[in-house]
Amino acid sequence: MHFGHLILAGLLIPITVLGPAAAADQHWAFQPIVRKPIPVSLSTVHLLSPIDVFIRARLDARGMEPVPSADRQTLIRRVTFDLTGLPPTPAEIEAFLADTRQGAWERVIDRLLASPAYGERWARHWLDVVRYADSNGLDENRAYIQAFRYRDYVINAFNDDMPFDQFVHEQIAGDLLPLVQLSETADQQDRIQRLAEKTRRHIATGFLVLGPKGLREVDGTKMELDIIDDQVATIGNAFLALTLECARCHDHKFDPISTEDYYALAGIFKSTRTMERIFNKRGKGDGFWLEVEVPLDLSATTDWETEHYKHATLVRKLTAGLPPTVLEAANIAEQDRTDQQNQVLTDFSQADLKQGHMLDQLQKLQGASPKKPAMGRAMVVTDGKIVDLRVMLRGSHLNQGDHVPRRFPRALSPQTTKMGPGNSGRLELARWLTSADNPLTSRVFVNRIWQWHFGRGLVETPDNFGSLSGPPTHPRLLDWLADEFRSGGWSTKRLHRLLLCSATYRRGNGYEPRSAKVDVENELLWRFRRRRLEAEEVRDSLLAVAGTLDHAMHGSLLSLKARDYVDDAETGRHLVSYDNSRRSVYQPVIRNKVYNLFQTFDFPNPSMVNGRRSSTTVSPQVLLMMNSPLVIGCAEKMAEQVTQLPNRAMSERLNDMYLTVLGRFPDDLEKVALLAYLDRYASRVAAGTKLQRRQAAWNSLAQSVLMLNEFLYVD
Amino acid sequence: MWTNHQNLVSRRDVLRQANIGFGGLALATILGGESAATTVHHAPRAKRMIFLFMKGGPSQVDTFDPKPRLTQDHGKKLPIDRPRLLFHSVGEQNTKLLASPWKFRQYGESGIPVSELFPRIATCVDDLCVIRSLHGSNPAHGGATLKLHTGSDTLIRPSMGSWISYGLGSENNELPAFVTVSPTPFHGGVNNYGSAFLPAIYQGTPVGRGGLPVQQAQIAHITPAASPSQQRMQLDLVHRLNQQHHQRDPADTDLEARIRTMELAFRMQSSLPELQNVQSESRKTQQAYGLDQPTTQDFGYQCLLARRLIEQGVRLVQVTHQSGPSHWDQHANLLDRHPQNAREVDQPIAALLKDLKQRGLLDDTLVLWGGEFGRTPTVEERDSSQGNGRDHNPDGFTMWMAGGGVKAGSIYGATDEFGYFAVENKMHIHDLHATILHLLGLDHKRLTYRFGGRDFRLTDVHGEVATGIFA
Repeated sequence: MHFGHLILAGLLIPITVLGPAAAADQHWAFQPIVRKPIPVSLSTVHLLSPIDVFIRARLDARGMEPVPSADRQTLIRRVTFDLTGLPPTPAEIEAFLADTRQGAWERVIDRLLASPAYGERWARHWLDVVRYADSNGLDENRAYIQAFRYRDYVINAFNDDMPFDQFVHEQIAGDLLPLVQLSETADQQDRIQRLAEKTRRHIATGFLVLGPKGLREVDGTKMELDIIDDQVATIGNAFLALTLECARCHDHKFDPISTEDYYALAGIFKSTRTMERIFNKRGKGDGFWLEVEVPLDLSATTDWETEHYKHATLVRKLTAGLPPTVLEAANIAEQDRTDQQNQVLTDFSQADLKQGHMLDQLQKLQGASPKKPAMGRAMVVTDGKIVDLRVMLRGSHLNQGDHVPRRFPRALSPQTTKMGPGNSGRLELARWLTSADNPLTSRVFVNRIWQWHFGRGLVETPDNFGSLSGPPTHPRLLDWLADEFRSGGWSTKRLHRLLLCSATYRRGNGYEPRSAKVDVENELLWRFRRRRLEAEEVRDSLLAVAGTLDHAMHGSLLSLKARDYVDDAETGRHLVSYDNSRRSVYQPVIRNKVYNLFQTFDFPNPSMVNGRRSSTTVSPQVLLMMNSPLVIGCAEKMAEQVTQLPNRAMSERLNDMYLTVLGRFPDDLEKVALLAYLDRYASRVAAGTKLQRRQAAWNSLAQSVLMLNEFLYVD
Repeated sequence: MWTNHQNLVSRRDVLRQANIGFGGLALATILGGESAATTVHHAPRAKRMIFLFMKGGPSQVDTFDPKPRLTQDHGKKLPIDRPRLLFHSVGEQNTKLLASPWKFRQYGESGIPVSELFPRIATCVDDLCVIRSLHGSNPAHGGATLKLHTGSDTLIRPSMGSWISYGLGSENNELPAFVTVSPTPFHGGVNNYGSAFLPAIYQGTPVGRGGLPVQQAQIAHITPAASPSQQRMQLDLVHRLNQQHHQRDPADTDLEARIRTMELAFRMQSSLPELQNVQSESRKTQQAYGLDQPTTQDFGYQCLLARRLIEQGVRLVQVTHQSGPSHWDQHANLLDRHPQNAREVDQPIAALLKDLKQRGLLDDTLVLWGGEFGRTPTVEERDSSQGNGRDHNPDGFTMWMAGGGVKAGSIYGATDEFGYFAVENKMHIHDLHATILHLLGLDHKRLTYRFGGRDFRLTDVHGEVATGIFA
């Protein structure tokens, strides 16, 4: 063990660093999850949720009072954006405000969790973590035109509340999970269900394939090891919040991960087939990733499978008695047969009436093989040639050290799980991640969900729980939640309800100078954090308030062909269009060239695991709001909606606009300013009829409202 | 991306009252905990930099690194081992030496040899420091371009430019610290000027993109959608309503920052296009850069824009030469394409160097010229319709620097007698990065950023400063 110093916030804080040799039992994150009693005291006994008790205990200890609850108008906007990434509609706001019965809040949460928009919003959180993209990026940028199937899988997983342990298993080893055996009495529906499950699980393994790849890496062996490194790193960051990739070249400097640990895990992925090919004919690196056929129409495919089986059985029966030369000739299409083969067949059928009849039947059957329905393709992995790796000294495959059998990191899994010579070990890895003696996976996921609701995790670094991460602000709460999550069947929706029904979530965000003095970062949650909308929310809200958002789900918006470059090789023209009204989660994510609006509003780099987005305030964002055709178009659409309703007073029209965009009515002072603006603007428009000038003023006013801080921030 | 840096600051209410401009040093000081770049680490030799990126890889043995041995042994087999990794060449392909088709001559007082491909740059040799010993590790365009721009060919890392803007900030509140003109969409694309895990404000601001005529190049959404008076009226309303909203939580500096950023954006709509409009330059200047000639006008405009930007306080401007899809990548047709490429850049670059010098800017502006790698001294044989060429060579190639405290009129390092491998005063890409940062007053070992629990730097664990090139 050695001591280091970190300069944090200008303060010199001595920290203890665990070297790789240090025992894992010193670092909090490696300790077993312990559920301690809820620290109820006199001041907290009346609180609704155990979460509030944990939060209140730390506030009490510092002598701090939380700010009061937010008003209902604020809450409906907050929770609607939070769960669906969309603003509440005027009708939804009014319904909630009118619902004065007990349980109104719980009912809103249930409604939002049941909405398909929930999966679209929360899948996107997960896609940040798994570095989702629709192109390979790095060197030469080719389209992953099948990646969307994985994205749609994630959307469905959230909407269906797939237990998180199953979600982990499917992404890492979906192809290896045992499928149900169909019984004798299985019907079409059972077969469809089985095929659906098989397909879904295979698509889930796209998780391992869609990372960035240097497909023209001249050193093919290095390309393969880089791809494996992406897989190890992503699993480490995403599920364990450990930087396993640091141990590729040397023992981890801070955490108990050795190079042996790294290559033991890497062996699992070396034994997994991710690439169709690495090398080209000349022996140079020139990679193609692996894809397989997947059914598009489950029912038609199941029918075909049944028919195909029947047909094949018949053919097999019929051909069982045929001599090999005859069978060979019969299997060749008539026009392709040699004279000799034709002779063989003629001789055979003329020798005996029964034999002639058999051949006729066979020919008929061959002409009537059931037609296979159209199939799609998906990016997947399968098990490959099973091998163990050697440690590569300083990360170089030209300098190999000792052989390491495939296994999990020692510090986390002292007993060795045997991985057989017949399987890669992915299934064992997937199951170990969610096993009872793995303390990280559930803590890490619970912390992510907490952060996505509250803006900051109980552990501030969601992708790193190693010894360089700060300790949790509320360690007992973290463990309580992790245990509650695991023992509650790994249900994400249940976890949402738990957090959202707390008083802590419903806090206002008023400013309290005294509390700010003690806890300026609001680590103890004395108030709710205001947040800027994320890139997708900005775009989706614009389209939603303009009334043009297309709610259609799933599918691909790429018009490229398989493995096409995303830019035209001659002209450099970008071949991906973002001009559509679908929800932003469906916009293509092109590595090296992320959609301008996304890039401007802090969309994370899609080549890296990123569990926490940054939120900057930069002038290109303002330029986009002032000058982009998207914003101007949305403002016009919104103005049109507001002005086209007949017989409505000006003041009511302003109410409509404010309620749609900001979730509230303008106050009197604001109304005065807005009305004055309309008049002034209309009087300054040089051309057009009075009506046209008036509309121009409304357009400008609508855009002004979209430019307000209140639109871009959620309280 | 230029910006109001306030956002980063805003997280620290303690610093809220620190009413400091957004200049680099001040910014770095405010950032304190988030940034290791507290100040320049030592007296800088250069305050700004222009990188003239020759995409595709110009041939060192045909430009600045003459090899008589190639002429002597033309057509003979290369008598030394080739590198383990070769790009195109397999087996016996590409093993015969190819003499340079161009003559070299010594120029200026320094007598530095330059081939006849660059007659105009040759007139500036006394200002150049020609580095003949560059080497990298990746023989493919994508990997090598990323390596040169970010220090890594396999992982997503912040670009050199974003490290520099992180370290130095902009000298001008209204302009970005790092601008890249006509960047290539290929071979790493945005990653070559991206900020990866550094805050987005440090990423390069692209003006146009490679393949698009640079005169059409624009910053996204800079063209006003309404007249200035209408926009003014609108902004006034927005400010008024925003202020009212801000009253509810006066301590929220994010909200305040956005209010101020709006004014900045409003002004930029006129200041940036003005900067891009080179019509205000004298006819003589425009002609010097070759704006009146079809061959030189595109790169000439890029070079002139670079000067105008650094004059206004931009720290790093990268311009990229890549006319046509094959750019400097002459696997074939060396004889036609290398001179064509050279003609497009020769006059503009010479004009830029002279212009900077005449304006007194060259002393503290570092100019860097080069590609992602060089080319093999051996021939890549093609049929006669294509003409022969040279393969990629990351193992020994030339870049040159000018101004910014480097030894003018000097040659640094050397390749072997064939021009294949760097052998003397070798300068790896990591060393190049360390040296550039040093010239700008930054210590590559101390310019770090903490991300995901560990400190990162441009040079990772590598990098030696080549003090031998300092004046």
